[in-house]
Amino acid sequence: MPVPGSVLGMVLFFCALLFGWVKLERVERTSGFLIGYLGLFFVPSGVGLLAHLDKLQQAWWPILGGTVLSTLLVLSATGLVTQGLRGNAGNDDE
Amino acid sequence: MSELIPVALGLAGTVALWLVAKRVYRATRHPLTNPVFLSVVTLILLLAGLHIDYQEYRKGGGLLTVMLQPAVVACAVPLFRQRRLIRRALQPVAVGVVLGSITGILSAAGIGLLFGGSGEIARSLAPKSVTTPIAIELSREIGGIPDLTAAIVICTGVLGAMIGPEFLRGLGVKSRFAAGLAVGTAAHGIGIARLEEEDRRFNTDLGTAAGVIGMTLNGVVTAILLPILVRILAFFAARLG
Repeated sequence: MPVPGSVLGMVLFFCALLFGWVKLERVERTSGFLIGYLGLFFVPSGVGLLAHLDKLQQAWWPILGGTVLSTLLVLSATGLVTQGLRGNAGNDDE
Repeated sequence: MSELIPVALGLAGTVALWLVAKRVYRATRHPLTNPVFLSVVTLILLLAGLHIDYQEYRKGGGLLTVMLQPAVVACAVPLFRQRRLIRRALQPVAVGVVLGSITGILSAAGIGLLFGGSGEIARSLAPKSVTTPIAIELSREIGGIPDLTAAIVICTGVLGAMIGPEFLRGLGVKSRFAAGLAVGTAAHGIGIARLEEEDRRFNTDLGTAAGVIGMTLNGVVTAILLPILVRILAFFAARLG
């Protein structure tokens, strides 16, 4: 199974915080800074779509339809089911 | 030395555009001004208008892609801060993400086929909701086109980030946690960037933490279920086989 290094790193970092090897106060600011720029780090990959336009165009409608409708369906499935199963427990996280 | 100029321009230009886009978004809060979307569209138009080759741009801009790795590692912090709430919600989280994963795989491939796509296109669509490195690997495994999958994953992430929270609010999903989980499940890291922006306004990190759980769990669940589900779908849709 493909496990990206970054995801593995996140799991290890979480364990380090959990076991107290790393103190939260020491990493809070840096991590907040990095996550605040997360969107920026995706921009070059987005511009990279330019290089793949021919591949997207070869089947424009199936790709567009599949992407848009399926994204809305995933949002609905996870959002509604999770909220429903949590019941009143979800009221405290407004 | 002269070779460094395009690198510096690509890097500085991307950062500057993104900072402006972020301000525009905060002023308007309109989905079409989503900072990632706005920066990408502007850059694509700029490159086309100035006749700059993408490969040339990538020398500088691509340096930012490297920063994705430490940024994902940093996502452990919101996760840690919200660990108690997450532990209490383990069952709804697991059921929600597994259902989201199944829904995503079957609907992406199925709708691709319904809209007249080939089996190869449908298989490239199937892993679209998970984070890029996992999606590319899975696409290869099931006989999709990895490059096409990578492009679809980015489009999915941008779309989920642009309209995810609004769409969920419209559906009546009021819980910040459930909405965050859904956006992370559907739209991976780009979705999490949007959740962070939302959380910032309300001085919390609950949505971000939920999004990180959604992205991570969906990656694992999809890696396990995708090959099986594609085989089942192929049984009903000959074109996929």
